[in-house]
Amino acid sequence: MSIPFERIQTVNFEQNIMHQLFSVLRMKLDTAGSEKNEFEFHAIESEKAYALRDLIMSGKKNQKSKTVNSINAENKVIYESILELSPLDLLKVGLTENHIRSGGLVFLFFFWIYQNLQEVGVNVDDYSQEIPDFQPGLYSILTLIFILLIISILISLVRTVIKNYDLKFLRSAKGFKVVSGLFTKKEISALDHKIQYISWSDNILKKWIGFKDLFLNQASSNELTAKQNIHIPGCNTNHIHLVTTSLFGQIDFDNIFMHPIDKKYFSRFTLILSIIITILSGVAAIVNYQSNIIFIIGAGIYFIITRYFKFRKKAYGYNDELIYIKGGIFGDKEEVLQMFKIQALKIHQTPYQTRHQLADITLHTASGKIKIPYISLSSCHYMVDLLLYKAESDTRKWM
Amino acid sequence: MEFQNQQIDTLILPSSETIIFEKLDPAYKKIRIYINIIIFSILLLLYLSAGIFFRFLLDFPWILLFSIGWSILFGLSTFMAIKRYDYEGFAIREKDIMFKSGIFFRSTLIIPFNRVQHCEIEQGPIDRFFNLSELSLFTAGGSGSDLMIPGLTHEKSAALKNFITKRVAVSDEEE
Repeated sequence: MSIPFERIQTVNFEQNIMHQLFSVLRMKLDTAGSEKNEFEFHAIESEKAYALRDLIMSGKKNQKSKTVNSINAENKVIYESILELSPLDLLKVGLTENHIRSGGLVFLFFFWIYQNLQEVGVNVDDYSQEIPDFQPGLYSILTLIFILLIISILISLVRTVIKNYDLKFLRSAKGFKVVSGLFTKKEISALDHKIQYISWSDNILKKWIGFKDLFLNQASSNELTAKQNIHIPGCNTNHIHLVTTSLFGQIDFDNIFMHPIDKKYFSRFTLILSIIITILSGVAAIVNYQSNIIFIIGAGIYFIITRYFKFRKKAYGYNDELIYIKGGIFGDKEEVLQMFKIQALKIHQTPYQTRHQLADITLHTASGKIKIPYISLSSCHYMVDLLLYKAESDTRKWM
Repeated sequence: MEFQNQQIDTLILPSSETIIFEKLDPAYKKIRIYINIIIFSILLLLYLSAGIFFRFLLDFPWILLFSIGWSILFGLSTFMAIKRYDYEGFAIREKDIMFKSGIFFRSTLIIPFNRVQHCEIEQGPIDRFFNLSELSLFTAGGSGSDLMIPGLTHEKSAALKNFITKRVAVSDEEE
């Protein structure tokens, strides 16, 4: 099996404890072809692996075949550090994770145990009857929520430490590299021109301490798993500025004129959801489930409020080179994409949108899709014309 | 190649709004109608044969309800099968290809030729009987961005494939 260097998309390393003991590592080469088209060395001496990586990433064509040792010196890539996460930063990142998601994992875990116990013949319900009756008062519910919250935070923290321990985010002349991990050291690198789009986001907690998660999305053979996407937690605006500057040059994002999306994005959703809530509450009232009405209305109000935030935050803008999309619900999310990197465009209209001359536009990239909902049909067509022009006239490598 | 980044007048961008779409082959409309008839005949047969075992299905209220429901659904889906054809079409420009579809939920997918990874012609048994085939274009943008044009005569899809493959090759050379 042989792969030309220029077909190799990414070179990644992994080093678990056994590897570290023998100072070898696992090397993975990923091509943009089908899923099976991957190359993997299960154990290779660290130095040789790095030399090989540098050789591949230097992108030189027509190299005569050499032994790995002899090329070591001439292709050495120099890395500059952008960000190193200190233990304190790591703690902050862990504490500000999305705890509701971790809580969901805890819940799923217990549910899974419950199911498995039932399968092996242990009837959990029998045991629960041995617990003396108690009234689920406000106090016990609050205690339960508190315990669940503590467990969620602990899980977030452990997950963060295992994944991001000793994280180093480095810049070479042509790309980025990130090294991290507690038990298994992982190294992922990305060349500038292979990055399809970048995004950064935060949540309420992270906004408070000024941390953002940065994602560099690369083209990958397996689009469903985001394994090729570089994720760097704990960035601040300076780090992001450094990254955007090295990728796209000096860009003042505040000066890009942002177009909002149509307010019908919110009003249409609210109208439809209100009708559904009314019908559901009506049904609940008739079949004597009055106590559920409050949950139905509560959930409805939650969805309407989040939709409103989404509507207020969604906006898009562009300059000669880039599209810049803002979004988010409670936190903020920003996405930046070089226009010529789009793979395909889709315009979609519901009957309501057709009547009101509105449309959704989806930008497909080699690393996932980005959707801008509810923009006027004319601006949608303008975007299509502009993006197609960029993709069709630009002769730079998109991958 | 030297890097260029000239400013362009955004008012003279080639417009995608005024494109005239080419319709699919009329035989494709027939196929849809036939398939519809076959599905609904099977449904009818199933109901009648169920009536052999459960006599009540053939008695007054049930048989009436079934025939009303069956007729309405059959009429609607036949109407949709015919109407759908009017809203489908493809267009080829010098540097890209687009396909639109959908009566109520309308969508248009556009792919520049220089992003096409590969291109395929598929022909099922019914297609073969009517000498039709489906042309598929794949990009690196995931399954949502793959373009499929059904209901082309086999000659036409072969010609299109040929044309697109050449276009892809030309854009590869430019890069």
